[in-house]
Amino acid sequence: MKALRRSFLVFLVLVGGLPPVSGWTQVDITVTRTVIQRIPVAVVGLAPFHLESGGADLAAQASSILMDDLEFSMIFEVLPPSFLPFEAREVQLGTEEEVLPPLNKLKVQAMVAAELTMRGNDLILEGRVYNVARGTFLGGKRYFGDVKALRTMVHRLADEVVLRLTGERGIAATRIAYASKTKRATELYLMDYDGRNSVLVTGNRSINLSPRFSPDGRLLAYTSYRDGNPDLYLLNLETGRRDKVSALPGLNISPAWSPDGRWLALSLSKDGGTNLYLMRRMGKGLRRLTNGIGISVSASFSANGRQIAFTSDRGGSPQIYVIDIEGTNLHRLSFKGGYNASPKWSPRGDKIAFISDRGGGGFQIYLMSPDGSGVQQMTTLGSNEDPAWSPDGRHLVFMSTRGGKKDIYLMHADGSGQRRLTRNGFINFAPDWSP
Amino acid sequence: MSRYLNCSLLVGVALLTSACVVTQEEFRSLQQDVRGMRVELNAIAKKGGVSDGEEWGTSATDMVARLEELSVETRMIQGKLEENSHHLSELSQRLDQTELKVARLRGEPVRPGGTSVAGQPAIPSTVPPPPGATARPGVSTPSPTGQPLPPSGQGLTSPQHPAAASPGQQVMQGSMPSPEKVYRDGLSDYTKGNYDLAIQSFKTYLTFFPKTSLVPNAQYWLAESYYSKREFLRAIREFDKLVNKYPESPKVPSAMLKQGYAYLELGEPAQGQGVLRELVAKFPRSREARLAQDRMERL
Repeated sequence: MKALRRSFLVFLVLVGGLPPVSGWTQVDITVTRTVIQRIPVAVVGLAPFHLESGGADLAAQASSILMDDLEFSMIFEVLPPSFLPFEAREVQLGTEEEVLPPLNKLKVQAMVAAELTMRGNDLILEGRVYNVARGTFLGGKRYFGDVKALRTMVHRLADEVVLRLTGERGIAATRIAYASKTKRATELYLMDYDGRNSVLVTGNRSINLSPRFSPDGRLLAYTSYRDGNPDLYLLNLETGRRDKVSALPGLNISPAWSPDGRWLALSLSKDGGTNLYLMRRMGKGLRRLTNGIGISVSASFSANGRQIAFTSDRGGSPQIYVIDIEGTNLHRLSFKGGYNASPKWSPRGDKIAFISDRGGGGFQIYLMSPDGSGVQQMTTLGSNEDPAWSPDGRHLVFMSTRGGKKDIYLMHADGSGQRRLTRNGFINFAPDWSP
Repeated sequence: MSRYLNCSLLVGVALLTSACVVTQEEFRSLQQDVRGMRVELNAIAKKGGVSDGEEWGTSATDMVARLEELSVETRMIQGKLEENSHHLSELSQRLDQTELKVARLRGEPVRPGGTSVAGQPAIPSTVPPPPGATARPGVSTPSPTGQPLPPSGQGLTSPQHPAAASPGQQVMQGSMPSPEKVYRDGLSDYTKGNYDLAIQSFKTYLTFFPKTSLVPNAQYWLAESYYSKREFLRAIREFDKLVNKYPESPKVPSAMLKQGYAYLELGEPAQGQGVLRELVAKFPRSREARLAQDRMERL
């Protein structure tokens, strides 16, 4: 187990340290886009590349990952290679500008040309981005790594494409933490946003719950019964160091990070009832936000860090409330249905995802505005719980029973594109999306 | 038509009010129960000195069970009060909308609250503006510094944000958004941390819809936006307006608490404590009073 954890950390360090060889040239690009209009983009190059004769075509894998990432972003519409008036994979770096005119005729707005080569034991993935209409080169980047890091290199290239074309951060290189229950334990895992590369991060054969990434992505807060009591831990994902930051008598559960990463909201039962508290991230400066003998859990900060949405039964049934970080201005947001819970404030600040039984037949995921208005249903199949936002606010990860048991799924924030991520045969739940 | 709408809304309000009365009765009954429990508890406590342990234990167990029942009941009633309050708020907003529609149908330059608007901004949908007008005298919302807003395209205004345009422009375009939209845009900008836009929205709301039901809330969020920007002097001033103009608003204890905190942030502990003490005196059972006590103890 130790070896596994060590290799995980080495993996993180390696991937985190992938250096670009050449920087991007900052060139302005004007891309006209509305919420529903995607940018047509073509991916060319990535000629067949095999490490050994008869082995897998790594360039084909890279091309597929890149196109999936760009398509999933909700920003791009990737043209299928068969729609192009030339053989896309035969385009070589250095000659890619020749295909800009035919792409322009097809009204393609952007082109990504890429190539996979080898130097020593390292794979080299090079990507270049063009504004097709203007025929201008926007920049290029090279990534180095071993074969195992290929997916990560491609995800990073996809994120650079998103960043350079839209100014927004992409989510292809993000990760999802989740809990997985076996017969013996409930452990926490990390996986890529597309469900690949799952890695164990706890491994204490106890019950580990509620993983929450810090806003800088370096720390993972979670509750563990490792020492008998449900205590709150912080795991440093870069060093592997674990700190027990709250071990008060009773529950130390349901953590949530403030957007600046300085504060953690959590639920404690040390004084009777289960109430909401704020503390500094290393456990100091505990401040109580709610009172009473009821249950207040599932805190989630607003984007401005001034408010916290949470679930409370102070009105007789679980409902969603909002309170200021000073512990004042408490008000209720949900009124329909007997059970509304698990609020998650969008990083963009304009929506709150939550679960509700208002439709009957199990829980479904809904979105609402921060004042409780404009409720939209996102899911219909099976029972769906534990919503969490992607860092760009365009997607949600959640748990669903639609496949027969609890698994992790993704969807776009308009409810479309729902897809399953976990297929490990265990009970998977409580996902959280890294920044 | 408008009479019909108004009547139906009034009936709705009446029904809801009757629902509130039922809730108040339940609440009174609960209070009587609690009083009864206190008397019983006192009796048991007195008896405890002379009776045997078993009898005391049974009574205590019963008491715990009944207290648990009461706790559940209290929460249920709390929930009902929240729901009634919410329904009342919804109904009030619908009434606001109806009044606005009626005023527009009549072509009257009348505010939603029904007041005359001599020298005040109107909400015409058909009256064209004077040629070349960008803003009418008396309708521009003051900026945080008290100066008129810059023209469109500069400063805080944004074509994508209806509430961010100056009221004069909105009148000129004849497309004033609904009060709910202005309010929600403000709240949305507040939660995103776009405090300047939020301030503009809430000022627009208070200027154009001064008689609507969400005015106290808009006043609160205006002050809160300044507070979040750490412009504590302005926050104090705006919270003060809420406390003085709308003393019945449920947000008054929060406003007073933040006023007190704002004074403390400004390094004026005497004034801060004064406000916090006043809060404790006025709303001794509120959560804000507890928070104020805590804060004063830490001074």
